[in-house]
Amino acid sequence: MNVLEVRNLKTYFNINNALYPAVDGISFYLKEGETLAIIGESGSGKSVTALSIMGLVDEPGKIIHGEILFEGNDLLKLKEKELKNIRGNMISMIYQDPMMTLNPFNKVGIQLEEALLVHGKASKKTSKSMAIELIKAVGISDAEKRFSNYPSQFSGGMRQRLMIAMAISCNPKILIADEPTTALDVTIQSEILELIRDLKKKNNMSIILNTHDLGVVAQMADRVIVMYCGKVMEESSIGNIFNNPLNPYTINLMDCIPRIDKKKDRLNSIEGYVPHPTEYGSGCRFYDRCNRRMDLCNEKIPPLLEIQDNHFVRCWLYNSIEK
Amino acid sequence: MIEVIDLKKEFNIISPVLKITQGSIKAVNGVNLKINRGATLGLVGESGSGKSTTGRLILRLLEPTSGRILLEGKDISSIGNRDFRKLRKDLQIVFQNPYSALDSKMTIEDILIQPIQLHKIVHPLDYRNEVYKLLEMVGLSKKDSTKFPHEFSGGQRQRIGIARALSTKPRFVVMDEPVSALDVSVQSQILNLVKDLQKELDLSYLFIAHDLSVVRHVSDEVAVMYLGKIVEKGSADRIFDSPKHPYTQALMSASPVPELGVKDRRIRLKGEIPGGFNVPTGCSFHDRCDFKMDICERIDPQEIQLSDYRRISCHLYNGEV
Repeated sequence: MNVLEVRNLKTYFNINNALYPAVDGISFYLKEGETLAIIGESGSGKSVTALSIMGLVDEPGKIIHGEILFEGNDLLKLKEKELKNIRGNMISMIYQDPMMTLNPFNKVGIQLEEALLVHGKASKKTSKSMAIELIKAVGISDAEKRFSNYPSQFSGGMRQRLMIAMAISCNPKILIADEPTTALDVTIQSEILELIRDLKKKNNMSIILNTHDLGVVAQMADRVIVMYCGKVMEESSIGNIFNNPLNPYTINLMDCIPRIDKKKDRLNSIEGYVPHPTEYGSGCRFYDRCNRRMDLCNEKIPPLLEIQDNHFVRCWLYNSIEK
Repeated sequence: MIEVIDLKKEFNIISPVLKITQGSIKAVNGVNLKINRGATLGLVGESGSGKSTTGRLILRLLEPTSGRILLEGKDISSIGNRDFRKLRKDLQIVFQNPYSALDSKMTIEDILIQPIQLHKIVHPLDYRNEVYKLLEMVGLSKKDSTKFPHEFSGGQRQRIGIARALSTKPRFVVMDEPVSALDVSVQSQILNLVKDLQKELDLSYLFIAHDLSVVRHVSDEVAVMYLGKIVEKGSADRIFDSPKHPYTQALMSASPVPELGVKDRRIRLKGEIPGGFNVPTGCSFHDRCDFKMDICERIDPQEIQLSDYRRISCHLYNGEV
C-alpha cells in the first residue's frame, strides 16, 4: 500500500521576477514500511522535495503544480490548520544540522514535551515521563538527568538522537530524513543509521532518506530515486541501481567515488559543474557533462520511461527500447 | 622533506569573567610524523582528534607549545617570524571551505597576484602571465582572471584555492579537508587534480580528511589520530587492508561501502570522543576499547614498530616487537 504519492510536483523559485524550477515535475510513491532513498548532489532538488511534502516551502519558493497524496488526501489542498494535524504528527522530518534545529535556550526535555503537548499525544501530567521514555528510546543513557540539560551540553551525535526523538514522538507514519548524518563522524553516523533502522522496524514507519552518500544508501534503502537538477533521472530497486544502473549520470556517479576497500588508480570524474536553474536549456540538463550525449539531447528533455520492469530511466539512449 | 618531532600544543582555557587560566586542553600531544618528497601522508580521525591543529602547527599558523618541525633537516619551529616569512612560500595550505577562504571583494587576478608579489616569485611585468599559467594549471581559463569568487561554483573556487596555494611554488602543502564541502562528481575532479599536480610539481602533501575512502585514494602513508596522539601509522595499503589498532579497526569498519550485500562488520565503539578536558588516564582510548586490559587504564602505551614498518601505540602488540 502506498502511504504517500507525489504526482507531477513542481516547486519553483522566484528570482528577479522570473520563475526557476527547483523541483520540476517529479512523481513517486512511498510504500508502507519502505525506505526510499533520494540521491542527488546539491541543487538536485531533494531538500526542496522534502520541504514541499512537509508544506514548509517559503518565499520566494512556491509549489505551482502537482498533488501530494497522503492516505488519499491531497496535502496541497488542506488548510494550514488541517496540515498541522499531519505535519509533525503523521509526517515528520529530521534535518542535517542538529545544532540549528534545537532551541539553545530551552532544556531538551521541555522541547520534547512541547512536541507531545502540541500534538495532543500527552497531557501535562504524562508528558514528562513520555519525554524521558523518548530520550531512552533513542539510546541516551541517564535520561532522567539529561532531561534538564541544554542542547549545548550534548555532542553532535547526541543532538541528532534528540532530533530523532522529537521526530518520532508522535509515532509518525512517514519519517523524512534530510542528510541526517552528513554533519557527523563515521563512527557516529553508523550508530544513527542503526537507530533509524531499528525505530523503523519497531514503529513500522516509511522513510524518505535524502543523501548524497552512496555508502549510506547501500545500507539503508529498498528503492532509489536519482535526481539531477529537479528531475528524476532514474528510479528503481536498490539492486538495479547498484548492479545495473542505466542513466549515464548514475553510471558516472557510481564511478566517481573513491573506495575504502579497493585502491583505484584514477577516479572517473564528471566534467563541468551542476548548472544553476537560470542556466537550464531546453534539452537534457545533464547534456553538458554527459559522456554519451547526442544532438537530440540538447534539443528536448527525454521522458522518464520504464525500460525494464520497475526500472525507470530518463535518457534518450533508451528511447527506442521502451518496454 | 618534512619531519615533526614530539609536537605539542596546549590551549589554555581562560575564564571570561575572572581572566585566569582554568585549565588547558592538550590538542596535540606528542605527534611524530615524516613526509617524504613527492609523497602524501593522510591524516585521519574523528572531529576533535587534533588533525587540523597539527596541520596548522606545521605551517606555524599556530605556535607550538613544544616540539620540533624540520624542513629538509632545518629546524623551522624556533626561528623568528621575520626569517620564517622567507620560508612561508615553501609551505602552503588549502582550506576546507572554498566559500569563506577567498576574499569576496577581490578579483581572481588580485587574489593570485598578492602572494606572488609578496614573495617576489616573478618580475612584476610577468605577474599577469604567471596568473594565467596558474589558472591553466588548475583547469580554469584566462578569462576567469577578472571574475569575482561569487561567480564560481564550489569546485571552481576550490581550484582557485589550490592555484593560490601553488602560486608561491611551495614544496609542501597542507590539504585541510579540501573536498569535504564538494559534491561527489566534483570531488573526483579535484582529487584527480591534486594528484596530477603532485606528480608534476613534486609536491609533498599532508592530506587531512575524515572521509577514509578519500584518504585511501590519495595517500601513500596514513596516520590515525585520536585525542591529540597518533595511534597507528604506516603504508596506506597495509593500514587499510589490515588495520591493527582497535580504534583504526572501528573507524574503518564504520565507513559505509557503496556496494550491496556487504555484511555489517561494524565494530561498535562505546560512547563518543571525549572533550579535551577529560582525557582518560593511561591509554586515552581505553574507555571505548573492546580489548581493554588492566594495563591500559594505568600506562599510556609507547609507540612501537611492527615487522611491516607500521608504528602503533597499543599494549596489545607489546609482545610483537
